[in-house]
Amino acid sequence: MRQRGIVTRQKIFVGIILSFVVAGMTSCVGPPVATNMIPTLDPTAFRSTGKTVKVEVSEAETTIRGPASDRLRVTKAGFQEALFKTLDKSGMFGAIFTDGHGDYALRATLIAQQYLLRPVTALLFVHYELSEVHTPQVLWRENILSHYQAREPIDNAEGAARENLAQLLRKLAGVLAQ
Amino acid sequence: MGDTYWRSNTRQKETIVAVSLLVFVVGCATSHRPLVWVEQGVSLSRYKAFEVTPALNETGQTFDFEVADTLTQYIQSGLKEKGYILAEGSTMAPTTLMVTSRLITYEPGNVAGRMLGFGGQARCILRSALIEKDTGKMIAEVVSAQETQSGGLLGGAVGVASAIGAGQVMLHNCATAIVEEIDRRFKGD
Repeated sequence: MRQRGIVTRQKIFVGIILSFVVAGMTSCVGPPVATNMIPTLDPTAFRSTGKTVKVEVSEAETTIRGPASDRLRVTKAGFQEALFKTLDKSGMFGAIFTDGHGDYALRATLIAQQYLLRPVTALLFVHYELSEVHTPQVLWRENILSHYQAREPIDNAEGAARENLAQLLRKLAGVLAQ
Repeated sequence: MGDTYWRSNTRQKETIVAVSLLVFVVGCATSHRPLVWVEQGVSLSRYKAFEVTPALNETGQTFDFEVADTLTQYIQSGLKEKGYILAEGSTMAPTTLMVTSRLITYEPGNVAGRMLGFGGQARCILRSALIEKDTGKMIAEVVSAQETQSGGLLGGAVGVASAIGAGQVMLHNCATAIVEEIDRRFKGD
C-alpha cells in the first residue's frame, strides 16, 4: 500500500516536469523578435545615397506552411521594424520613413513562410520593389528566398529573415550604385 | 465489463499497429503546396505553350546522376502529361512562357535507411520562374520545398521498380509539385 503511494507520487512528479517541458516548448515560443532579424553588417561597406526612402511591408499569407505553429511566423510588424532598422544601420539612405513620402519607395511583400523538419529549416519568400517616387519608375523588383537551419525553431524564423534582409542589402547596394 | 474493456483495448492496439504499418509502408512523405508569387493582374490562362529551359544545379554539390537534366525532364514530362504544349527553342510566340528552374537544395537521403524506417530523410528545394518569352518579364515564381521522413517502404520500392530511381524520388516529387501548382494556376484555382 505504501509502495503504491510512492509510485503515484513519482508519477505526479514526472507529470509536472513533463508539463513544464511541454509548456516551455510551445507557449513560450515566438513570435520572432525584430532585433534578431537584423543582419550583422559593416556600415562602411555601403555608400550613402543621401536620399530618403519610405518602407512599406504587406503580407500575402497570414499562416505558416508545414509543421510549425503560427507563433513562429515572421509578422508584418516585426519584419517592417527589422527592415527599417537594417536600412538605418546600413547608412544607405539619409532618412527612412514608414509613412509620408520619400525619394524612393521600398515595398516588401511577405509572400509565404514554410517550415521543414529534420533538420528544422525555415523558409521565407519575399517580393521587393524599389521605385522612384517622383518619376514614378520601378528601379528594381525581385523575389528573395532565404532559408535557415538552427537548433531552435524561433532561431530559424529569425535567421531566415536575417538572411533575406542581408540579400536585400546586397541587391540594393548594386542597384543604387548604378 | 471485462470483456468490453478487453475488446476496446484490442481495438486500440490494432489501430496503433495499423498506423505504424502505414507509416512504415507509405512513409511520412509530406507534400507541401509550393510558395507562389504571381504578378498582380496577370492570368496564366492567356499563355498557350511552355518552353522548359535547362534547369540549373545551384546546390554546390555533384550527384551520381545529371541532376539538372533529370529535373528538366521531370518538368517537361509533367507538363506534357497535363496536356500542355511544349514549344521549341526557336519559337517567339508572345503566348509562350519559359520555365526556368534552379535547384537550391537536394538531399537524396539514404534510400535503404528510409525503406527500413530508420531515417534517411530526403529533401529538396526547387525554384521555378515563369518568364514571358518575348518580353523577358517574370510573371510568376514558384518555390517547391519537399521532404520525406523515415518510413516509405512503398515509396522506395516504387522508386526502385519504376523509371524513377529510388534516389530521385524526392527530386521527382519536387518537380511534380511545381507542375501541379502551374496547372492549378492555369485553371484559375
